[in-house]
Amino acid sequence: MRTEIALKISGDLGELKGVREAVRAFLDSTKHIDITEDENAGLDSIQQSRIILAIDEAVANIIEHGFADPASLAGAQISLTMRKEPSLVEFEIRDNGLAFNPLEHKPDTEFYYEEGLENGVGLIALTTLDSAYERLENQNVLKLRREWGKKK
Amino acid sequence: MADAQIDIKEKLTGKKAVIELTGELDAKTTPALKAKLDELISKGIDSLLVDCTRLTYVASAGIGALNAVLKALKDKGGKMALSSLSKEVRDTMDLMFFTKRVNVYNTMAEGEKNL
Repeated sequence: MRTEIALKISGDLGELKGVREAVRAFLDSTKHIDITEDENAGLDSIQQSRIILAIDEAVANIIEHGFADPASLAGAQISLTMRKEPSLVEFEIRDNGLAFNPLEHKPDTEFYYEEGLENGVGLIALTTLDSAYERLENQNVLKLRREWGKKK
Repeated sequence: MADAQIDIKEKLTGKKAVIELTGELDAKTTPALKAKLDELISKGIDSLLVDCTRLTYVASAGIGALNAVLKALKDKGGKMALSSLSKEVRDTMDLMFFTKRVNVYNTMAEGEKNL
């Protein structure tokens, strides 16, 4: 069985809560269906929370840094597609912002903490999932995937 | 859908401050925390305990605001600590290495005792 849910997101940080709630509801819906790591419980709360965090950070990063000016941010088109297949969940985030591969960003945590910086560690959240990036038709396409039974 | 909310309760005793966070700290709500932290720093505090009993979510934006105040306090010989992290909030802070930089106490009372 394959399920797919798509969400459109504007360039407003106020959307983040709705995004997190949609991802949580989607992950909750994987319980008791298909194959889960624990047949009764699905993903545990930490694994769920890491997926929600990764998507929240990726979308927040697009809204905060993906557009050159307020006018282009107003025209932001961001989408989140969530797919569930028997052995995995996959999330695809597309945006029409500046070309940026978040997987190439290597945070310097030592510098971040020594200098008391406010930005720079969010994309670490992506490392808890299998991921892939491509630039396609002037869009950034980020895929985040979690296969059951493959904790990272 | 309603925006995320963060409620901040503060207790100031001399140069020591305790703040209790209720809600979610994401990129949307963090500016409210940052404003409160800037206000406390301008009042001259030298130690801060952030109690997270009712903090249900933290993103890197929230950690960034706390990181900036941690640096400001350390620069003047002060300190900052956290208390009562849920396991999910703790996991996020562990992932971003923040818990390597601050003391974390199990309860607010324990945190206050060590402030």
